[in-house]
Amino acid sequence: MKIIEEIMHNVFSAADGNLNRLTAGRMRVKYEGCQYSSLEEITSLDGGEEDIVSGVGMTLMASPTLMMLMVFTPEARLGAARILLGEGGLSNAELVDSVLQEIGNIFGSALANGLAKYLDEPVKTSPPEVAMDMAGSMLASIVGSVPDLGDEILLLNMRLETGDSDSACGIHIFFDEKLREKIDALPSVISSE
Amino acid sequence: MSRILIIDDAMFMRHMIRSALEPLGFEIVGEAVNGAQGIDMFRALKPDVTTLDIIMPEMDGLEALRNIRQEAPLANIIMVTAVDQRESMLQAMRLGVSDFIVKPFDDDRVISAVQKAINRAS
Repeated sequence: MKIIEEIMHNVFSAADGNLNRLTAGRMRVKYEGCQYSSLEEITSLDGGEEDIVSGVGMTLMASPTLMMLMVFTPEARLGAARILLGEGGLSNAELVDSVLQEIGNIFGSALANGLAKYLDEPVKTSPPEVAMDMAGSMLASIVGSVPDLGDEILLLNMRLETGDSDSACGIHIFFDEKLREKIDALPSVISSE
Repeated sequence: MSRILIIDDAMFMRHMIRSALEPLGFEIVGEAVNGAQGIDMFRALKPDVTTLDIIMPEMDGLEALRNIRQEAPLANIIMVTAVDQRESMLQAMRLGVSDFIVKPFDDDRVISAVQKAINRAS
C-alpha cells in the first residue's frame, strides 16, 4: 500500500468517528481512494465545469502550504443538511452553509492532524469558508491565489452515507513543492504503532 | 429557569446548542457572532452560563474571556473548542473556565456541561 493511501485511511477513520459523533450515527463517510491529478483532470471528475457545487475551503498548514477544498454535489449538500437540520432547516441557506462548514472542519482537522503527524510540520488551520460555484472556478481561484502551489493536486474520493442514500464528495488537497517532496520521501510502509 | 448566552460565529453551532438546551427549559437569552458582540451582550444580559467559541473573527474567544473575567470573575463560562486547539485550551484554563465542550459534540455533552456549571454556581 502506498504511504499516502495508508495515511488517508487513518485520516478518514478519524473523520468518520467525529462525523458519527456529530450526527449520532446518522452520517458516515466511505473513503474510496486517492490519486494525484492535474487541475484539468479534477474538474472533469467533479461532474463537468458547468455544474454548480458547494465548496468548503480552508488552510491546513500555513508554512509549508497545505490547503483543502471539499466539494459537495447538490445531492450531498442536501443530504448532509437534512440529517443535521431536518426538513425544516433546508430553507435557510445560511444555516445549510454552516452545516457544510462544520463538516468541512471535521475533515480539515483530521487531514491537518494526520498529515502533520507524518510530515512533522505544524498545523495552522483557518476558519472554513463556503462558496457555491462551478468546481473548476473554485479550483482555479485557489491555484491562482497561492503562487507556490505545485502543479498536481491530490484528489480524495469519498461517499457521504446518509441513511438510505449516499452521495459522492471529493476533497482536493493543494500543497507546495516542499511538502510534496516530503510526502514522496516518506517510507513506503508506516510502522505499526 | 437558567439563562444562557451563546457566543459562536458558526450559525450551525449556535443552532445545535440552542436545540439541545431549549427543550429542557433553558432560556437562550442571546446569540453573538464574535467576541466583541459577545462582551456587549454579556454586560447587557448577565446570563447564568455563557458558551464561548475559541476561534472567531474580529475578537476571538480567549480575548473575550479575558474581558469578561475582568468584569465578572465568577462568571460561568464554557469554552467550545476543537481537538487541535490544545494551546488555546491551556490558555483558557489559566483564565478560569467552568468546562470545555470539544467539537464535534452531541446534545448530551452540551446539556451535561451546562447543568454542571449551574450546579456549581448554586
